[in-house]
Amino acid sequence: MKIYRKIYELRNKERLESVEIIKDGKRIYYSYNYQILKDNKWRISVRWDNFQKKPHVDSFDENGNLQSSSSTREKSLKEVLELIDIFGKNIVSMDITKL
Amino acid sequence: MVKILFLWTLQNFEGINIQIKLRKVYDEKERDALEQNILEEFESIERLKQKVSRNGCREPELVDKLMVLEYLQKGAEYKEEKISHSEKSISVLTYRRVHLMGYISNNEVRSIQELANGLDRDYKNVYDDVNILFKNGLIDLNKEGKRRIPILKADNILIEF
Repeated sequence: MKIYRKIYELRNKERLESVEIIKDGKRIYYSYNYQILKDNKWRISVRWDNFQKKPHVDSFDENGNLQSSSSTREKSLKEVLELIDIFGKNIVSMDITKL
Repeated sequence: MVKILFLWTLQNFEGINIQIKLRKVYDEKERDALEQNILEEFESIERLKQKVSRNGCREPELVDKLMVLEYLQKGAEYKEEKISHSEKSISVLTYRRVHLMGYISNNEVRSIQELANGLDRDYKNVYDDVNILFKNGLIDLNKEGKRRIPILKADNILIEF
């Protein structure tokens, strides 16, 4: 079993923090957190995870309050990085059912 | 022995794809310390589970901590990786700072003064370099009384073009 925690420094004041748990070669848990630096604190804006085997995506306001949540299919880290690369900070205001 | 690897990934650095990744592999002692830190924060895994079931998505960091704790307790390995995409990160790696890290890697250094003596460099310059490396996550500074002991967080820096 392996736990991987990764931090991708993206553009200025943006980063992606991920946690993945691998068991028997399979990813059994993931969370990908797109974060924005505000007041010297990294705050999650959009988060993809599969906690309790329910893949979903959540969005948060700039104070860290949950704004919306939607089920989604399982996402890979590569897919999430591509989404962030394409949409940049606009991802925060997007319809999360599209993410 | 602490096994730590550093790689960073830089992309589109002046039109050239440069990859540098920073990686840290926790040893058993560090995994135990991480587990203890989480347990101390929440008293027990049951308390953390209760918080997660109450707050769930509203406090997503708790979910990650619960999952990490559960699998640390099951004996999972723990690896951290930091990938940078800024020019600033690579500019940190001057010859003198890389040399400084190499010195720490090959010698037991008990203070910044000892490091400056070993490198035969001015204390102020070494102090400044240590702080820059610390701020950029390349070394840790452990406090021992009034001394600050520089600890290398990397035994390998890989730059890929």
